[in-house]
Amino acid sequence: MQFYNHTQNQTHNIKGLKETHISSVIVQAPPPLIAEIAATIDRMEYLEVAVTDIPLAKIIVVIEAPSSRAMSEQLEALKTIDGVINVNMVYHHVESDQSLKEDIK
Amino acid sequence: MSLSRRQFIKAQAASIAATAGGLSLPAASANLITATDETSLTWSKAPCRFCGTGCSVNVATKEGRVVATHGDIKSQVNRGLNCVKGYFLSKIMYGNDRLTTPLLRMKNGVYDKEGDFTSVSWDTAFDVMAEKFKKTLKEKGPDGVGMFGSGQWTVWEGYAAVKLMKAGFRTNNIDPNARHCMASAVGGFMRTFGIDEPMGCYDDFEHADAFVLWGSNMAEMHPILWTRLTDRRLSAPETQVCVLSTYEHRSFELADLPIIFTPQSDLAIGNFIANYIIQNNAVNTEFVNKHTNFRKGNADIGYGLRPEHPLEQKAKNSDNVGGSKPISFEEYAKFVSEYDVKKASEISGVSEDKLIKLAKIYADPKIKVMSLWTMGVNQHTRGVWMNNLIYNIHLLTGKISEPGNSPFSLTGQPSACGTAREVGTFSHRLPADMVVKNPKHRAYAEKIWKLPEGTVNPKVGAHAVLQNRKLKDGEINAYWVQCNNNIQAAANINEEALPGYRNPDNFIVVSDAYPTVTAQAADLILPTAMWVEKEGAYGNAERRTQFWHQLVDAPGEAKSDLWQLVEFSKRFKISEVWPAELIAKKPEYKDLSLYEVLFKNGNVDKFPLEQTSKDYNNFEAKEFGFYIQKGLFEEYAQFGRGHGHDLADFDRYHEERGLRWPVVDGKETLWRFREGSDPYVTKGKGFEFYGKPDGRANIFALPYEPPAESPDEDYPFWLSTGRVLEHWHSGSMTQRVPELYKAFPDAVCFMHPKDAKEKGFRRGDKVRIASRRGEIITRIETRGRNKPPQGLVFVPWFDARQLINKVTLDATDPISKQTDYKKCAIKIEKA
Repeated sequence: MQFYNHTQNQTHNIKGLKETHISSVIVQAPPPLIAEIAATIDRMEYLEVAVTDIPLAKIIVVIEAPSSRAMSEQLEALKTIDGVINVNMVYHHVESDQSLKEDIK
Repeated sequence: MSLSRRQFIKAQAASIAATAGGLSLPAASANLITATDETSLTWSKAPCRFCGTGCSVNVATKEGRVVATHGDIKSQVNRGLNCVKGYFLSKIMYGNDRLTTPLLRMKNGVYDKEGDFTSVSWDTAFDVMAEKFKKTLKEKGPDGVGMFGSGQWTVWEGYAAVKLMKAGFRTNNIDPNARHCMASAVGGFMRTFGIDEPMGCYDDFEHADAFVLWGSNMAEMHPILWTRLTDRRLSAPETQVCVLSTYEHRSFELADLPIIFTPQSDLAIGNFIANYIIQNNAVNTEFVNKHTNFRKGNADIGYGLRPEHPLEQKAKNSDNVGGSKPISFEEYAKFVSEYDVKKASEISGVSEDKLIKLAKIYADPKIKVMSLWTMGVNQHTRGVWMNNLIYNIHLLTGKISEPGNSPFSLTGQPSACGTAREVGTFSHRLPADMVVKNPKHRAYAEKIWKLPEGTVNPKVGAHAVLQNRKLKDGEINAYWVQCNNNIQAAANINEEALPGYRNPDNFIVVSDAYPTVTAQAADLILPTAMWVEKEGAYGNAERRTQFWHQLVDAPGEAKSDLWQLVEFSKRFKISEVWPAELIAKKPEYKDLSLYEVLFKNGNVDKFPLEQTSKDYNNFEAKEFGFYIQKGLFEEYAQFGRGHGHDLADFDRYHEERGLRWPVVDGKETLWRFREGSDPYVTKGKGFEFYGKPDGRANIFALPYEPPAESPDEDYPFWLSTGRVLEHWHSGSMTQRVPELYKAFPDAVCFMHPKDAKEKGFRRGDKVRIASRRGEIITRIETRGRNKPPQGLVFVPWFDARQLINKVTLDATDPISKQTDYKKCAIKIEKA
C-alpha cells in the first residue's frame, strides 16, 4: 500500500514579508558553570543573555533570529553546550521586520 | 525615551521567562510586564494537546484563529513554562492537508472497498456506515463490531463512546490506544493496590532527596517535569538522580548514578533491591506488618502471541496469567534471596558496585525517593510484574504516599488517565475502576444509565492487539477508529494490522483531523474537530482533571468525535440492536433510537443550553439543544462519587487550573492512602490501601523471565523504539509544524560507533533494518542525543515514511495485553 507524503503539506509562516523571530528561553546548568556558559552564549549568533541567577542555576536567554530555522538551530546549539542540562522555551513572537522598527512611545 | 517595538518585545520576552523561572526581573523591563499589549488578542486557558504531563497553556485567538500560545503562569503543573512542542501548539490545527469533508472510497458513484476516496456529505457517510454496522450486528451480533479509541479523547468523548458501544451495541470490543502505553501501569496498580493511578502527585518533585528513573527518558518525553526535577537537583545539591535505561539518552546528563542494563533484566534488578533491603535489615517492619500482604504470582505466563505460537504452547500458565496465592514474609524473603548482587549483575550487565549504590538509595530510611517510569517499564512483556516490583521496594521500606516518597507512573497521553482509565474505555472496564465481569458493577452501570438488567455484556471484549488479529481473521467486520493512528502505532503492522483493514469482509471508519496512514488504510474517513475547536476535559498523570472551552470553530465540515458518536446513534432503533428478550424488560424503549435511550435519557440532556458560557461558542450543545458536555460529565461522575474517585461539580473546572481527585468537600487530594491527606483513610489507621478489601497492599514474588525474542546469529541486534522530544507519537500533528519538522525531520537509526565501524557503516549511510516480520530503510546516526551500547539500536516511530512497526513484534504482556515495543531482534545491512 502506498502512503502519500504529508510532510510536504506543512503550515507556512507570514508570507512574502521578511520576518523576525523573538523568543526567550530558560537554560538550566550547575551553579559553578553558570558564568562560563553565559559567556559562551553571549558570543553565539542571535543570542543574548538577559539575566543569570547562580543560586537558582538558571540563565535567561533572548533569541532574535531572522528565520524559524535559524532559531531552531540556535536552540539546538544551546542544548549541546557543555554543562547545559535543560533548555526550556517560554515565549515566542514572530513579526514582519517592518513593524518591529516602529516606535511605540 | 523612544522604544522600538523590537526592544519592547525583547524586554517582554526576557521578563516573562524570568517570571516563569522564578528569577528577579531585569531592571530595564520590570515596568514592561504590565504594559498593555496592543495586539488585540483574546487569551483563554487550555491544557496542552500533547503528553500526559498536563501543562496549562494560555491560548490567544484573533479573528477565529489560534495565533499564539504560552505557558500558563497560574498553572501549578508548568508554572509558565512550555516544552518545544507546547511552544508551537498554535500551529497544530493549521496543516495544509487538514481534512474538511467526509471521504468515502467509491467507484461509479457507490461505495467500493477498492475505490478512490471521494468527498461525500455527512448524511451519505453515516448512511453507508450505519448500513455496514447494522448488517454486521445482524449477522454476527455484538462480537462483530468494534471500536479503537484514545487517551486523547476528551472525557465526554470517551464516555459517549463507552455508552454507544457497551450499552448501545452491547459489545465490549472497545479499547483505547492507551492499551499500548498505560495498560501495564493499570495492571500494576490494580494488582498491588486494587485502585488505579498514582498515590502521589507532582508536588513530590520538590520534596524528594533522590529520583530513580526506571525506563523513562524524561528529559525528552516529559520536559516540564524534567525541569522541576532539574530544579530540585541543582538547588538542593545533596539530591541524587539515578537513571536506568537500556541505552544512554539525554536524561543521563543529570545522572549521578547512570545505569545501562541488558533489556528485560530490570526484573532481576528490582528483585535484587528487595533482597538487599531484607538482607540489610532495612525493612520498615511496622509498615509492612500493618499495611501489606505477600503473594506469589503465577510464573511462565507466555508472551501474548497468537495461541498457536510455540512460545504460548510451551508456557505453563498461559491460561491463568494473573493468578497468585498468599505467602508469608519468610517465603517472600527466600524467593528474592536468589537475586543476590552477583546474580543481578550477571543478568543485567551492571557492575555490582552500581547495583549496591542504587539499592542503598532505597534502603536508607533518611532518603526520600521518587521512582519514575513510563514506556521502558510498561511496554514490556512482563510490564505488570515490573510495576509490581517497583511497588514492592516502596512498600518494603514504607516509602509511599508521603511528600517525596513516591512511586510515580508517568503517562504518555493527555487523557490516558482522565479518559481511557477513569472513564474505562477498555475492553474489560466500566467507569471508576469497575469491570464488565463483575455483575454488581454491570448492575450499577445499568442503573445509572436507566437500562434494563442484562444490557451490559459480561464478556470481556477484544483488546487492541486482539482487535487487529480479529480484523485479519474476519471476526470483526465493522470497525471505527477515533483519535489515534494505529496503522503507524501497532506492532507488526504488515502481518497483523494492515491485512485486517484491507480485508474485503471489513468496513473500516477512521475519524481524524489529518490523512494519517491509518486514515489512508480506511474505507471511510471522517474529518474531525481537534483540541480547542471543541469544549473538552483531560485528566493528567497526577489525577488532575482540566477543562477548556471551544475557542475557535473547526474548518469546513470537520466535527468533533463527540458530535460524530452522538449523531451516529440517531440512526439505530433499539429494535435493530437489542434482542427481543432484553427489549421485553423495557418494552417502552422498543421504537426509540439509541440517541434517545443513551443521550436523551433525562441525565445527559438535563442541563439547558443557557448554562453554556456566554463568552464561547459550543457547537455540540447548539446542535443537540442541551449542554451535552455537562450532562455527560455529571452522569459519568455518579460512578465515582463516594467511591474514592470523586470529581468536583462540572462548572468549577472551568474556573480552575485543574483539580486532583478525589475531590471531597470541594478539596482536592494530593497524597492518597495516608491519614491526614486522604479523607478516605479511616481515622487512626495511619495508612490504608482501601482499594483492597482488607486495606493492605500486595507485595508480589515474581521472577526474572527472558524476553519473547532475543538477538541471535541471524538477527544479531536488539531494536528499541520510542519518541524524540520534537515529535509526539506518530507525528500526525508535530510533523505538520515547520519548526518541529525541521528540528527532527526524519527518523534515524541510533547506533554505537564501534558497531557501525564493524558493519562498515558511516554516519548518514542508508541501511535496511529487518526482522523476521518486515523491514524499513533508514539512515545511520552515530552521534547525537541517543547513545546505545554495542548490540542495541534505537529507532523513533514518529516518521510515517519509515514505519518501524513493520519490524517490531506483537508480543504483549499476557496480563495487561500491552505490546513490548522495546525488544525484538533485527539485522542491519547497507541498503
